Amino acid sequence: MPRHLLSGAARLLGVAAATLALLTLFPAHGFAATTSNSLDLHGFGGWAYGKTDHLLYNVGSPDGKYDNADFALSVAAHPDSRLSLVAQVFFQGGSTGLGDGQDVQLDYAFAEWFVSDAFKVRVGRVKHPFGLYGEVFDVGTVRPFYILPQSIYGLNRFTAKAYNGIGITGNHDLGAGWSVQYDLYGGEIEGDFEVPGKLSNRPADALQPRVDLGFRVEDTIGGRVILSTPIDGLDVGVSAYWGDETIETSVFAPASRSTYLVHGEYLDDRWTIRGEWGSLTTKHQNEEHGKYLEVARKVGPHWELAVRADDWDADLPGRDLRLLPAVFPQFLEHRDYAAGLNYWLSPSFVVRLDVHRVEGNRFALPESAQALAGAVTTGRLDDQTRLVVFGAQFSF
Amino acid sequence: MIRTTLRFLAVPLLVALGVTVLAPAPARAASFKLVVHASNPVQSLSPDQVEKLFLKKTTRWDTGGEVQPVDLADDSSVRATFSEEILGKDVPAVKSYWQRMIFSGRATPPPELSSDAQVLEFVRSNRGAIGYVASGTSVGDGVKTVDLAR
Repeated sequence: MPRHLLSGAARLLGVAAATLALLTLFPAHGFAATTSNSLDLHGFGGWAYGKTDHLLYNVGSPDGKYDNADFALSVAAHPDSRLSLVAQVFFQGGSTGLGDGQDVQLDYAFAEWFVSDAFKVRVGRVKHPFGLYGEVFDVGTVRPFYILPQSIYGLNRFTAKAYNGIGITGNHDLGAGWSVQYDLYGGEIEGDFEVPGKLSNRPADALQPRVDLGFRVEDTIGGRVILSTPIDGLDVGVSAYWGDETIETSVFAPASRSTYLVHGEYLDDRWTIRGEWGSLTTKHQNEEHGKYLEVARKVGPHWELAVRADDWDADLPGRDLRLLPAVFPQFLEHRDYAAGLNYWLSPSFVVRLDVHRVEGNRFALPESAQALAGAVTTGRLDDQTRLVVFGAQFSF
Repeated sequence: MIRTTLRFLAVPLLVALGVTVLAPAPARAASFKLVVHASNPVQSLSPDQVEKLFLKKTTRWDTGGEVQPVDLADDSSVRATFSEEILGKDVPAVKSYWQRMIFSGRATPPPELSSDAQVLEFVRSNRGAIGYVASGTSVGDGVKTVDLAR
């Protein structure tokens, strides 16, 4: 058996053994009078029109994009008081982000076994507990802007929607107003990220302005800890995972990868303040850093004003960028300064108007491969893009 | 870009105008009392304990039974008071909390019932239930009130 497979099996075996040991240490309560036997159905979705001044960026295009639409259905069943079965299917229409046309994904499907509030076991395809938005990736009604901060949650490999494997989670009251929520998991993380077609190793991709490549982080061990403070609404936390990463089309062998994220948020009836800082390091390949701060303030029962500064950059240690096309450094930078005006008809339905000023070309690219090729040849690519988004998001 | 922005700015402004003109007047504050199933041995609870029960951070009674909180409808003045005083948030903020819990697959919100009578019937029918009703409401058989140890 190859060494990395043996190592992965050993890690998973370790997680499974630790889980079984903890199940033994924390036996289930004897009381079993209540059988929930219920089914909960929820969902969310949204639609947006996005227009940029000249490049493609997220939900926007120079001609204006009307076909940004998505919808998800989430089902939770409780066959008995200790077992929950949870699944979510996500439908995406239009060409939001990468990939043109329709898309259907299984976001997650997992079983959760309740031992106590401090210890629950999750098995299956489980929402990735990473940062503040990792578990509510596409839910528009829990955030102040139509699109998430791209530095951490864009198509750049920081996180994926789910992990495939086994994990434990729970919360514990520490007293004096402090409490902690934790997640610990092992398995595999797989997702997509987006690059200019020129940077892909597949010859056919060179004809595309941007392509999506799959990444897979195998033998992953990760976790998240969120500490709730005595200040009502103030939480701080850390997320991290480690594993061996393989990238589709990459000429590199699987390489160890570390991803860290520090996060904090303050929420009350009026204010929403969130910030995250993260780092992704892949052996032999690159280092990426992302951070953002967003602040939103409700004005009256319906209006909300929001601002956000979002920043991402990458280093390629040991590579001489002077040997690459002159525009290449622009692909290693992204800054997005955004302002938003929201009108909440209810907590489950919001109408939004967002304006973004984007610097760098990590996510803002020409519409055609010819235009990208021309920019690479001439060394000239405008690194500033403006985006206006008008849309609505809902949940139930 | 400026023209596009202004064009779409008009839409939320018109929606806001319509909602402001046509919305009903806000509900006035009303006091409440906590109720549980008559067989529940609990006599009093602190606001912090009640908050954890209603936000499903504590999901089992000390006896081991599953806690089944029940809410009044989101336009209830009694719920508004309960939410502000016990949960420390207004009802929209609590709704937002539940959206995060639902879609992260961690928990689902308590059922919302439209009247005190329905809440009392729910509590009467479920041994692990806890709810709140307007303070002047007669609870009847099978339900008992719980002191709020502030």
